[in-house]
Amino acid sequence: MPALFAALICLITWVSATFFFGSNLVPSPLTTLLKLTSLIITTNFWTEVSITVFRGIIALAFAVSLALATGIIAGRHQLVMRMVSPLVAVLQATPSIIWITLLMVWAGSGSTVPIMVVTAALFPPLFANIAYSTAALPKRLFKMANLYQVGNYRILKDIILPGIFPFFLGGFSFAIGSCWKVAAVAEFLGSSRGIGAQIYWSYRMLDMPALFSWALVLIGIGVSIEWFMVRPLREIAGQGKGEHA
Amino acid sequence: MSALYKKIIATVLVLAVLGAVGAYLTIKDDGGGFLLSVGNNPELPTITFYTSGGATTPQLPFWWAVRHGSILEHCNLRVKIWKNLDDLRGVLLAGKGDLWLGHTEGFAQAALKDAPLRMLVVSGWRKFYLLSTNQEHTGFASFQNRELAFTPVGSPAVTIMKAIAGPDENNIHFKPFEAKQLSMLMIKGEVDAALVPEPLVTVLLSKVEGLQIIDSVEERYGIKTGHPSRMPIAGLAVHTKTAEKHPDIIRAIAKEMIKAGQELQNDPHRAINALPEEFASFIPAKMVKKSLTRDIILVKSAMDAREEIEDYLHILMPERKNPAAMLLPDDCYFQEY
Repeated sequence: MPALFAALICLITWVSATFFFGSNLVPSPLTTLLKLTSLIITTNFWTEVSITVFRGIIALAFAVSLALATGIIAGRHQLVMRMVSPLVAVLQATPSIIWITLLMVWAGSGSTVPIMVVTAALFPPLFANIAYSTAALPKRLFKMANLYQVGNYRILKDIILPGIFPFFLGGFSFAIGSCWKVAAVAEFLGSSRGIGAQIYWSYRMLDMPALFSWALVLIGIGVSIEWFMVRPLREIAGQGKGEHA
Repeated sequence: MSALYKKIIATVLVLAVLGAVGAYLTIKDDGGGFLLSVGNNPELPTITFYTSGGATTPQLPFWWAVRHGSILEHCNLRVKIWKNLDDLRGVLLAGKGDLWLGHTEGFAQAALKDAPLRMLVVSGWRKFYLLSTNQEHTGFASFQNRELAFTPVGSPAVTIMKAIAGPDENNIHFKPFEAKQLSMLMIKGEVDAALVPEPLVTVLLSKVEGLQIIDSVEERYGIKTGHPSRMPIAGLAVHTKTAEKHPDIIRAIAKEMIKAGQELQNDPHRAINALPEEFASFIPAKMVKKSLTRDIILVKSAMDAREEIEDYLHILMPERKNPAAMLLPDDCYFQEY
């Protein structure tokens, strides 16, 4: 019901905008739907979507791996945390546009720009999430593990990873929800392929139905991931936190 | 298994399939995507050519030479499109590709920043026109102390006009627009005059009632500099490593282009069909045909056009102005013709 209400509000706003600004600037929902249908049946459409998805997944994998590796170490050692935190803060404060500009000069256009930009955007919050949740784990568990001379691998597998899992899921759900948006911006500016690049081409050619169609695709991916992945992950994370509490 | 896990697994599976396809495509075409591939001889080297979908005259001799000359006896071609001048700059500085179609000024800026390129040929000479629907506008002087729309953003025409402007036209407020945005404003009658490049000139002349050409930047440039009424605006450059590795191929491309320019000079319309149909989505063939009535097809090797290039660049890059010295060193030019 709430989804239907939201869809109705969007539709009314859209139709009103078409009426006031003209169909040249704001194509009607029907025109956009027809254009979207004509796009979906082409191979090119799925090519562009799959390239963006691939870039998002690779960047997410990089960011998660890097955040797990550095975040757990920082969470376990106060000195490392103090040393690394300012660097992560700098990374977090650096706008994506800086990365995009620099990477376009260093690497030209292509997959490098969106992958690196998404990695740079997702790493800081994931790092903070993992480092602080690791630091918050009960110290007595580690003391006991040391007392019984438990190896580092088992400490990681049986204490740290299960302990941070609910918090990690929260951070991961944020990251997976954000990565498509950042990837699209990076593609718009620094790549000739992918959904973001298609939005750019539509804009350059002033092909408004195509622009609206690609925007719908991007929003559709975001909403689908939110409903079918992020929300379930959050619910699972919430249940996990409840169990630990 | 709970409904939550089922949802997550289904989403992961869909993303995994799409991601796998994306990975295959990215690895297959090196992440950039080819607009088209020409020639598929496994025994020949493959040259990656970066070009623009909106370029007409500068690349017509190239495609004529590909279709009617011997270029494909020397190499296969993989064609990529650069999106805008920023994209081209990034591609040049990163040294991606082997052969680039672009603006002379962009090549020069990149070369001076140590981009690995050598200018090969100049093939774009006439491009920028002042258009107006207002009968009172007679030339650039009509816009003294007034706003004048122009496109594309960063157009060299503005720098040229500022450099060669007479005293009655030295305070024009040039206002940048994206090409399509400006087109729409002119079609709706919200902007009555603009400084625009071909082939947009042709598009606008066919769509805006009463629109006329009232001045040409190249004409003004010719009068001011004593050169013919043309500017070495665009052409081809080659990657330094490609030039060193395959000088014979690059020499053949340059020679075939120069020959194509001579063949097409008297009847440039013959070249329109040589433009691959993939370019039609950027600009229709009939527009290319119309734009040729104002344009010239001429291909000169960059070395032969060096004096004109230097004069042109000294105006566009005044911060480096030193009339006594060559702006671009010898190794910025391909010399093994």
